Amino acid sequence: MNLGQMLDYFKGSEKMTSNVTSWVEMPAREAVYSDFPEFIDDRIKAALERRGVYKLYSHQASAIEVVHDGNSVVVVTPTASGKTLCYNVPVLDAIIKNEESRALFLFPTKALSQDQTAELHELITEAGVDVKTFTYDGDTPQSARKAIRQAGHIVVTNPDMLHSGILPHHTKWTKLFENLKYIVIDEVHHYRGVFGSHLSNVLRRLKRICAFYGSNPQFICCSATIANPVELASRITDVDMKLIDNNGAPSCAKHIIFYNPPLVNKELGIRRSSMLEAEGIAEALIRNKVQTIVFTRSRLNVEVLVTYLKDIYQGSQEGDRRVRGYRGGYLPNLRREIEKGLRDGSITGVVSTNALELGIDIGALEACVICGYPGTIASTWQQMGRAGRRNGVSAAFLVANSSPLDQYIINNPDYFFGKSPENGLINPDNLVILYNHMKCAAFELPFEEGEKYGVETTQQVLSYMEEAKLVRHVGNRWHWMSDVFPANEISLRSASNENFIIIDISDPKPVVIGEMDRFSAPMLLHEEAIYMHESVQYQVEELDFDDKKAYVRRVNVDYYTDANLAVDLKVIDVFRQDKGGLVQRSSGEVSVSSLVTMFKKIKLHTHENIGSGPVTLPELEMHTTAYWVSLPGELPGMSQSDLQNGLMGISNVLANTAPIYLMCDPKDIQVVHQVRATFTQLPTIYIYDSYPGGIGFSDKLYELHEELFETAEGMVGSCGCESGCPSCVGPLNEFTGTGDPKELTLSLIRLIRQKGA
Amino acid sequence: MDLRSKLGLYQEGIGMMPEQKSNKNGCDIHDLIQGEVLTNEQGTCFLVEKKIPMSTLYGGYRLGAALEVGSDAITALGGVDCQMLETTSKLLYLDTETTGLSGGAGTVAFLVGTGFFEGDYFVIRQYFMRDYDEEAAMLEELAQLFTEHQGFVTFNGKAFDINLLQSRFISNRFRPFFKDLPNLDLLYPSRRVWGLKLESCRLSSLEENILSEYRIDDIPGAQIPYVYFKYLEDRDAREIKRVISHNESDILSMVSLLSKLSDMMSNPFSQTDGGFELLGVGRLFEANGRTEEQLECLEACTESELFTVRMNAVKRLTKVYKRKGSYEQALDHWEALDAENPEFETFHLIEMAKYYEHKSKNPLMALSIVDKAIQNCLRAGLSGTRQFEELKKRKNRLMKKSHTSLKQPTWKEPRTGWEHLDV
Repeated sequence: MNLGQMLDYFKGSEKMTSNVTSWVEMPAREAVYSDFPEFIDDRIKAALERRGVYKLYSHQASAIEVVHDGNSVVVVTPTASGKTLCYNVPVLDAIIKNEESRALFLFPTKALSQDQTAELHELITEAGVDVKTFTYDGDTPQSARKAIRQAGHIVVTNPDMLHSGILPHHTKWTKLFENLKYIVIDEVHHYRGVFGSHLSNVLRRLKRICAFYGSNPQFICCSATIANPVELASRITDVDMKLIDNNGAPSCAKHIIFYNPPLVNKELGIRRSSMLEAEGIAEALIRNKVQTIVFTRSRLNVEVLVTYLKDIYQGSQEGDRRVRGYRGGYLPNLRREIEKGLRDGSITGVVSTNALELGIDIGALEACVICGYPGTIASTWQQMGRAGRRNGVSAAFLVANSSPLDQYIINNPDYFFGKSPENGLINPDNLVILYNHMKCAAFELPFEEGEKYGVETTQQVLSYMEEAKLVRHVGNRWHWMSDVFPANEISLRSASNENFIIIDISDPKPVVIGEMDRFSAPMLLHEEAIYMHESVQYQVEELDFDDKKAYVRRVNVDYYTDANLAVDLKVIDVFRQDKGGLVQRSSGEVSVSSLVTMFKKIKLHTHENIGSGPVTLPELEMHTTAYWVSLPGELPGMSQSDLQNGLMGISNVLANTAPIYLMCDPKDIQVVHQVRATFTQLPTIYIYDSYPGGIGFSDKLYELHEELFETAEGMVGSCGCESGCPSCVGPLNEFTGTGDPKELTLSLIRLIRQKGA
Repeated sequence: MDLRSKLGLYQEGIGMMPEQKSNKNGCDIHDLIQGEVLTNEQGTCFLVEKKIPMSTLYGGYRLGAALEVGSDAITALGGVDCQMLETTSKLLYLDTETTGLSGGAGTVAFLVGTGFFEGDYFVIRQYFMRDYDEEAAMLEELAQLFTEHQGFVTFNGKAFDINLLQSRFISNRFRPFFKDLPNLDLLYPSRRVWGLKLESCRLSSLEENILSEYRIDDIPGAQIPYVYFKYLEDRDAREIKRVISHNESDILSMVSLLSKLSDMMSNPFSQTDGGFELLGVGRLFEANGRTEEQLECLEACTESELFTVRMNAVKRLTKVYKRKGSYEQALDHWEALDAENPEFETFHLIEMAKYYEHKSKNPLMALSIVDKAIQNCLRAGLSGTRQFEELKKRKNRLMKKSHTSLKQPTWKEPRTGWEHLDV
């Protein structure tokens, strides 16, 4: 059967349709073409024509023209719509016209950098022009670096390398900075939260340096579909952006099928494993020679699914060849081989983490099976975009798991199809991040008196830095006055620079296997904790809290550990407040102190509690931003225990609802409730950013108050369980007392919505 | 909550030191150090100048001896970019003291020491910035001085000082015109000559061990950035004085070191220790393609009392002989080494085995030598290394060869004691 016949078969199958919550057919789209803009060098046109590109898609032509007019742009089009041309063509054209011109390309990962450099090389060779393109990252040999700094027209790198390897050494890159014309930032949607806030500061530093050398580069950004691409790109680059979204790439008819695994225990809301269901669908497709990609969320699941799917083939050799895994941790050569196999069709099935969600070229596949909601609408569309050839049909299956978020999405297809996807949020002015990058900036070039770096209070921050003996104010400048190389102390991928390192002592020679931020360490790295890394279990033998080191040893046990966290929260400052009646909502700054008191050992699969132990670690304090909702002190007909249960239910629901709007990971925010809050003396629910200084999540939630509780009500109200389950208010064994947790939660939500309106 | 308190909360761990502007009487730079304030378009900076008669002895050499270094030695010591220099008389000795060792745009050279010959004197000029705002003026002075010279003599200047100054020039919007001037960097020849003899080839180590100059109350290099930061805070120049004299010693040491290296090349047999140093001088000749002088030095080294010297000399000598096709000469040396029966060494045995296998086509001879090499390997605890695996391969190949060459298997495996090992 081909895919079309299979879809017909699925439609007629009771087993399938009884579990499908939505089946949407998106019609095919015709291509919209434009001619090559006049100004493009003939050699580029000829090279493209030789590669089969006789006309541009409309969005490509628009992007090239708008960039040619001197604007910075953000191009927003689906996966595999040829967005690479939107920046490769203007950049090459500019360099051919002026050999002195330089461009800097930023990709979030090394793998993408290599991929794009290879593609650029092909185009350059085909055009027969002398444009030198190099990747410059941690893997670049020392011997090649000097030549790249001097002669590279296009330098392809990643934000981390720009931050610690290029900007602090700008005097070695004079050619680049004097002539920098374009900065290309691909996968802009990737730079949100902490990473985006860091990148924004790296670019502030870059622009200071460009100004010093007299250049003023244009930005060309590309993004997946998110709610606010222009806003995000503008905030990251701090320049005005023109939006290019007139997608002209064709696409075939696509079936999008939402599949909810059947309930096995209605009371407890337990469903069949999403992995097994996804495996079943993928197996049917692959058996019928439909080229299929399966996305799953963890590296472990990749390996498990690959093992299952290989059994389709008789003879292990064919299975090994036909079905492959793809994830971070594979060596570059292996990845290249798999990408090629997907393009030439020798691989029929691939199971991947979101590693293949980014713009790596694997051609277009026929079908896509997503095992578990990827967390955001934007990611989901990206992953679904992997299926879709020019001709015929394609299909994308979303298989939900039992988590509240998955259940909400799968049961509310209108939300998915109707809503614009999430907001990419960053907070470049997060004081911790800003301060750290100002140190780097001061190292790179002295600050001038009156100079503004991002915030109005720049000079005050500099005064503070002077007191900390990091800079010296003399003449009209602030000079770096330390023998420390500040960029080395900052990781762009985490907010605090006080990370714990994790050291594996299983072998005689200890190896550092990872790091963890200071605030998560007590929860996950306390002594006796089971720490998972690359699907291997380790037990923490010693946590050296003062030196920020955890010593772990490989183990093989059938349980995991879960620490109890006691959180206390104090409001320091109120930014905004709305006393809309009995219910108040506020946003502001809070101090969160957290103390891990004990941990439980929980058996895998059965989730039985099989033991516990004490944890003695110091209390940690974090200052961050929060949004909170306070209820009236007296609620008729509700006992203290009812109130407690209702608040707990709301907390559990909100922890899952909020990420829907924020394009963040559930662990990026925390929810706590207090029956009688110290600050308000009222029952209060707090949601705070899990990063010191805040990233802007809670601030956004303050604005999204109405939607947030509307969705929360929908999530609980429409859940099929009787009185609460892990898919809505949380596992029932967390609740005490006699009241129905689901009812109590719903009544509080209704109260908040009614009074808040 | 105000910004300061917030920053204070986030930046825990940074100790705010109380302001201390103690400026004790008599500790001002002008009271302690004889120098003058220079003024130019860019502002002011501080200069310490000293003229030392050329006849002054330092490190066993007259300072003026460095002027007599010939063009051969300059090329040999400085490499290709010093080829065009005929004399050292227009070279500027240069050494910087900086605010850090990590490099990058935020590291500043706050003291730039220079030295040059003028008339009967060696002049030391040390430019010091009394604060960051004196940097531009200091660089302006340096630019002038650089244009008056043909190149530099440094110690690790290629990797550090010149790069750093280049970065400072760019950061101050000056053209770094000097970056391609010849730079006779003494670190590299020193490493060649003393790398085997001394644990460390840092300038301070060479000074003590080679030049026999001992500094009194020298400031450790690692402290220098802090000394400067502290000076900026409290203006107490006592420690700066120590930094200035440290820098002066560095410059003087470079002068003697250049004389010493040149002297050793001119008179390798009388001016070296006849062991490691002679070997090192041989390496200098080798690096410059002066094969005849190289061979002379190395042949002499084979008479050394030190096994390591003899061993290294033979290694390098026979490499040359092999290249020239003089296998017999090489063989003599390997055999001489073998006669000493060094129990842990394999290099000469492997070479001999190669010779007997490929040149004199005597696989049986080669085989017995390989066996000896394997034993030495095992004694040295090198079983399982690549070298060991290669020896095993060689042995297998030789066994096959010796069988065919003899037509009948007369070869009996010698009881080397390693058969029972899992090889």
